[in-house]
Amino acid sequence: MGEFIQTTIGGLTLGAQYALMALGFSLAFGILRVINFAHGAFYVVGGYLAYWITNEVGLPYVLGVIVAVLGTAAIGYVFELFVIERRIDDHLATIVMTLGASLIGGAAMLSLFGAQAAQFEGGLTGTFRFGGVFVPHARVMIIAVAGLAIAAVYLLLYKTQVGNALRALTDDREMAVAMGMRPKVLFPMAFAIATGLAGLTGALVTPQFSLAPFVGEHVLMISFLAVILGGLGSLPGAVIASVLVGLVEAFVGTYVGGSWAPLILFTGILVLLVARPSGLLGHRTIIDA
Amino acid sequence: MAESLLTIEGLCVRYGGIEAVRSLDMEVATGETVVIVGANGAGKSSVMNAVMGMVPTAEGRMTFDGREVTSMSTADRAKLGIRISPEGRRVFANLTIEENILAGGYTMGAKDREASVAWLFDTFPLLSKRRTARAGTLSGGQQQLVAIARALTARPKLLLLDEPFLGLSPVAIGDTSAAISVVQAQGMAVLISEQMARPALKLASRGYVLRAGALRRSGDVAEIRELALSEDYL
Ligand SMILES: Nc1ncnc2c1ncn2[C@@H]1O[C@H](COP(=O)(O)OP(=O)(O)O)[C@@H](O)[C@H]1O
Ligand SMILES: [Mg+2]
Repeated sequence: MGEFIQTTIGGLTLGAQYALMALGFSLAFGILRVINFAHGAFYVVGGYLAYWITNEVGLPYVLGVIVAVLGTAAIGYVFELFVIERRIDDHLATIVMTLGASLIGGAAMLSLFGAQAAQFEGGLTGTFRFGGVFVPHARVMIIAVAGLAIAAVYLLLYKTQVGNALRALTDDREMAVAMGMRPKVLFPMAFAIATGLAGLTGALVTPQFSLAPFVGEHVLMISFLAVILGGLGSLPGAVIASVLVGLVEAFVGTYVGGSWAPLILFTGILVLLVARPSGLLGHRTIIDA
Repeated sequence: MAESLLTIEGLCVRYGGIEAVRSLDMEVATGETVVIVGANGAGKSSVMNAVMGMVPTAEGRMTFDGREVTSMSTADRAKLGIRISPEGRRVFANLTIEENILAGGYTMGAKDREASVAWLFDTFPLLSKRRTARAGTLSGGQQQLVAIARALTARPKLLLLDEPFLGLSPVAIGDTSAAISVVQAQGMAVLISEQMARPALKLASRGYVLRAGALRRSGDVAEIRELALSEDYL
């Protein structure tokens, strides 16, 4: 029973990580129609910003997380405004731009912090104990903060005029512009929210998992699969699929063996996608999204 | 004649090598309703979209409300008071009716926007009843009303209606005509394009007939009706 609860918490932590990543990735894709290959790099940069503030500057971890969010959001804003925005309708160009940014981000962290995995200390360290069950504070915090961040994005998108505009832009960009909406103002903002979410994820989870210049690629790949599985363009789908993927990864790891997790996960996703090509909640296919 | 709101001089619209509109002169006065009649491919949408700034003006000049708008961006024209209900309606399919109408008021302050939305729901009870329905799930006639209401939120000076009656049932045509009458009563100018000119001619006072991108005739509705009848537009 203890093992089951611990595995569930572990799975939800992984799921929270994938969900935050998938949410940001889906926002950028849905609103800007940009496949952001640099999303994993923003995760890594967020992790290193938090690490730098906490371990090298010596300030509290909370400040590290805040700096990571604001820092990655600012970089995302500038990157969208000055780079992506120039060729926003050229999908091949934006792929090259984000791939390039991904490499630059990883290389920059490599130069600044070295190839060794960073020993991130100063995150939350305590543990809840009920009977034989151990639940690290950090995991509960990750799940809680991820839940809050997802709720905040939901409120922004569905309860504010800016969110309404962002969703209108997603549906029909030309018509949204004809209502006076300005992509040059709204797109950098949307992209900043997306990259800020990646930075938040990195700052939250890398003290628990690992922090090295290229760890973001793997997390992004799994989140990307969750996005596809949830139905490209469906934000609730992306979140639900991410949690499922995290739980499957954790349970296979505990009860079958860690090395089996990727194999079972990816095979399962492939089978599901053959059965339901538009994903769990998707109402459109990848091609016409 | 009342003061001119929209003036188009020598408008040319091109898509690559295709000349869709050729040196067109056109005028819409403040508060006036004007119809553009033409067969499929005559260039009606090209004119509408050029006025909204959604396709570039290759040659010619356009002034709106006393300002030159020829090379002004679409969003700036929207801000000046031009709105379009485009061909095919193009409502925001994943937004509710209410959210569509709110989106139309993006450039307004929150208070004015709320007041405008309340007025629109008063005016269009058909929309009010279904305000939380996703626009993509509505019938063509309901979507046309949403497209018009969305274009009205910001209380524009000029409303462009590109084939608003296309594909609608007789009942929906009646609803749409009624909606356009509301716009006229507000003192807004309306430019309607139509192949099937009958309902539009009832609403307009003047018209232009386009053929293959060029102006064939302009005049008051009686003249336009006569020409349209003889050339089989109705
Ligand atoms: N985006 C486009 N690219 C190329 N040709 C176009 C485009 N839009 C319209 N055309 C052409 O321009 C001409 C006028 O089209 P349009 O303005 O849509 O006419 P209408 O609205 O009267 O049917 C047609 O020959 C049409 O094929
Ligand atoms: Mg047309």
